[in-house]
Amino acid sequence: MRSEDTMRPAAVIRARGLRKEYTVDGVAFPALAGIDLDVRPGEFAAVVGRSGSGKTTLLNLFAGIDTPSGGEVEIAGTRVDRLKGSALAAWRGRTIGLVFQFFQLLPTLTVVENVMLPIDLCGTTPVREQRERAMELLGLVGIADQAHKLPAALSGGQQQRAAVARALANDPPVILADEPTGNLDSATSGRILDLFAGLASDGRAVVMVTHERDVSTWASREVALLDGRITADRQLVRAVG
Amino acid sequence: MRPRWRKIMRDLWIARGRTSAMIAAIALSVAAVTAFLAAASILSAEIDANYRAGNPASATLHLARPIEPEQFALARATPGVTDATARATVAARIRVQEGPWQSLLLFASAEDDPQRVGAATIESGSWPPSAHGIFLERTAMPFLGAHVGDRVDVLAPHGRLTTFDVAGAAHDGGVAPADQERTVYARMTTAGLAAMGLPTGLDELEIVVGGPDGPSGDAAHIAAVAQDLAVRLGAAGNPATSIDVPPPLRHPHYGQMVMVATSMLLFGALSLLMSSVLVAAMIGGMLTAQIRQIGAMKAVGATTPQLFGMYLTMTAVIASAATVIAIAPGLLLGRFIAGVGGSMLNLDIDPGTMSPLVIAVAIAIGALVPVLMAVPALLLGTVRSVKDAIDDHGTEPVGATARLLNVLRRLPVGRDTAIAARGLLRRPGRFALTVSLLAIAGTGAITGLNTSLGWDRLVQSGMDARSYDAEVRFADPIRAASLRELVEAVPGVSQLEALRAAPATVHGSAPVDVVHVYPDDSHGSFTMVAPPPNSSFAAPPIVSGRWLRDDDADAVVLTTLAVAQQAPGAVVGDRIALTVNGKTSNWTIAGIAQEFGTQGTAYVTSPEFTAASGTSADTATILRFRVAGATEADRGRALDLVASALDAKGIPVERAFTVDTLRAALDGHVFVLVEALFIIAAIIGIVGLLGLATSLSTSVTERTREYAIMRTIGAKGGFIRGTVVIEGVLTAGAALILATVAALPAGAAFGAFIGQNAFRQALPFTYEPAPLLLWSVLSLAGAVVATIAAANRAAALTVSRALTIS
Repeated sequence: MRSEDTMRPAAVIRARGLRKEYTVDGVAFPALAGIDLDVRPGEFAAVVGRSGSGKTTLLNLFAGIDTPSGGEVEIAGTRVDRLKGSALAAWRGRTIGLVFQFFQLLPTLTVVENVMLPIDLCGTTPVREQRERAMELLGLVGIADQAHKLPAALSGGQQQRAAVARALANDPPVILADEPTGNLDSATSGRILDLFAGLASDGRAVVMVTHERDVSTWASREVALLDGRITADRQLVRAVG
Repeated sequence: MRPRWRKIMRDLWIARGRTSAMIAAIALSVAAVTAFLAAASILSAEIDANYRAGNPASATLHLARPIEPEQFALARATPGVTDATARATVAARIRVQEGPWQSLLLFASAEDDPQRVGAATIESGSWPPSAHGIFLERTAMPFLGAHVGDRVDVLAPHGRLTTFDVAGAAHDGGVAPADQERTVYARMTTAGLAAMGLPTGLDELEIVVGGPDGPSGDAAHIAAVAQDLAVRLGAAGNPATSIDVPPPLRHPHYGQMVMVATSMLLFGALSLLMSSVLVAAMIGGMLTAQIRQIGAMKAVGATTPQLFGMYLTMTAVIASAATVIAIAPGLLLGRFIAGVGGSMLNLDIDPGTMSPLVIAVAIAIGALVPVLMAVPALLLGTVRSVKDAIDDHGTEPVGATARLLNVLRRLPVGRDTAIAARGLLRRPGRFALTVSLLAIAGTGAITGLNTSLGWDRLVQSGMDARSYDAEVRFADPIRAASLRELVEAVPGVSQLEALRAAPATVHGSAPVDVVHVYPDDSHGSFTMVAPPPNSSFAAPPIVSGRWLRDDDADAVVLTTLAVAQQAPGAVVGDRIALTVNGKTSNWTIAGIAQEFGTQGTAYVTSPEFTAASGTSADTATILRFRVAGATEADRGRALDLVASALDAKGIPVERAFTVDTLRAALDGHVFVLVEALFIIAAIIGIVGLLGLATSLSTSVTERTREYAIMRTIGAKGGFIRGTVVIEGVLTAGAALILATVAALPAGAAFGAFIGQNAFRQALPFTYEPAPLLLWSVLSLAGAVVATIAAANRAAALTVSRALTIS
């Protein structure tokens, strides 16, 4: 064991031999072909690769959104591949903050209510303090003044900030983001990536699937996938942050 | 409010059009069910209360001679008898001034009778009347056009005309309304009998059988007590010739009322079921539309039970709102229906008698049934995995649906029709549900309307079986030859038959025969009739076995009503002992005939009747004849002339009526059922059309993006509008085909059920074009109207709006 490993915190995401196959018309197609990957708190890992390389599948397996065909996933000490149903949903709500390309905010709830929803569902904060907590998070992402608007009234960047605030609602140790900037202009993308970088700096593990050509400005690590295998895994030196 | 509940409320508000439609559909059904429950509750309580208010006789003993005071005392001392009274019943005719003669049934009692048994409530005037005073049952007043103080002519069976003053009106909850029976019920004292020149002796002994808990409801016990009393009276020198035991504590029209209530509840329940399925479908549609939101909520920690609870609450809010809206109007409607039913049954209705359980049951079913029905849709919608939910891109047609679409592509239909068909088959489950819903509504509406026409046909079939125009009945046998000679000479009488008839009883092991006839001597009565050979006027259709032959020795043909009321379970080939005029003889059931509009009858040949009744072969008690002329006025005029001719010769007429009078009486009996079926057919139809409207509205909402894309590639508003309307019409058309087919067995089954239970006779199978045509027009036009709003919404999309829809 290298000495620097002993200095670093234990991996909060740990994948071993992770496989996923999809069967179409009786023919199996491997999406992931044995992934070994550790992500530690404070890391901002960008998973890159072409379409169909297995990026989103990997993220879905981490979040328990999909189930692996083989191998194991352990997140924050819990074997995700062994969780099911309501236990999995409750675990996800407390442990994982998910951010999607298309934000997935509930259109009939205001921004602050969208942020309150995971807290309400998981019961992590007393009811009377939920709004305060949500406003605090909206302040953190810089859109507290938009709190009482419906998502449709916000710009794409603001909606994604709201989605990040919602992802942080239950103070999860892991943030998983699937193409969070795919629907945003470059300036707005930069501000969102700043947010993720900040979250990683605060000690969270952030894994982001992205098509962005250059994420070295924000990410601390780049994991490249091709045909379901890791072809490169390198630490980045962040230029800013 | 917590965010999850805020979301539910806002979702309901945003989809307020559909929410309102769902609430309206459930509210309509809950109001209908509540109304029917309330009406049934009030009527069932009041029908009993009204009937029991008069302390109706449990049994009536027909005695050989007028009852003596010591025999009366003997009756009161018989174990099981809690009260007794003596009376006489006289069948006569009555008219106001020079108005038409109507049948009259007179109940006479002693002047000092305390009026405790079979009593009527005096509503105006003072009892007892003078010797020339008569009390009319209250429903006879409008029927005759009489008022208190008017003078009425009463023609006694022996032909004497006496004028009486209408001394007052009485309510007799034990008899049906005069206009339904075409008979006037009236009361007087023995002094009135004397004024008419009739014997004043009272030869009917009415007894109430019961105990400390009140009158008995056990017919067998009542018959046993009456038989015991008959034995005692026989020993005292006044034997009973027969005993009447009507169904205990049951109004004569109880069966019809139960059928009205059952039909209403049946259709009400169907309506509620339909609207619940509709809500389930709409909620299912809403969940489908929100599938990505469900995925997002699951992604941030929502468990399936939490989501299920949220949407279950949403359904409960809709159902509860509908129930709150529906209960009060439902109760008011129920009171109204009960009032109408009460007036049709001659009941005094007190709406306060409605059981509080009705409200509890109405609230329970209104709030729970839709929620329970929605559970499968909710489970299906909330159980989906996050990945499936977030990745949802709708469904591609597969299997049979895909094959059907391929077939459709090859059909020479317009582009708009093809697109509409594809749109419908995109979600085959919802299409099937909407079609089923509308098909059930159509089946219900067509069945309801056909059944209501079936009642008319039943009445018509009863009339068709009577190929004569008028009938005259005599209390005693009259020499047939002289009747013939007299009546055939009356202008307008074209064909005449003389029949012989006498009251009959089924002879059992008990000392005295029992008949299950009501005090009105009509409901439940049983008569032996001997038609002339090859009779044209007494040839009812045979259900089983055969009609009479000239050479029959002991053959009897019973009507279905006679079998049901007097000899339950009897079949062709069975032996049966019948008593007529005190003589008992044995018969073989040769056939069972169906005859609507006549009380239970046993048909025998004339020679056999002579032997059985001991009456002369050359007599008649019924005359039936045809009239030259086709109008009701012709028939009425001819009958008046016949009655006058008979009166002039001093031949006493007991009853005289044309087929028109009979028709009016029969119509009066089925009117409630016909009206009820119309109402429920309308309700069920409206619920079905609401279902179509909400289903298509959901479908359009779900496919806004598709319409948007069509707009961006050049589709005009009119084309899109046409596509949506065609979807509605195709749905209605498919449902119409199903309903057309399903209404055949449904109509037959419902007609058999309701007919057998109300009148012991299945309704004739009725499948008329009018209900089908009416429903076709309503459903297709309704489909267009129901889709217009959704079609306009789809057509009004602008290209810029279309491009912003994600």
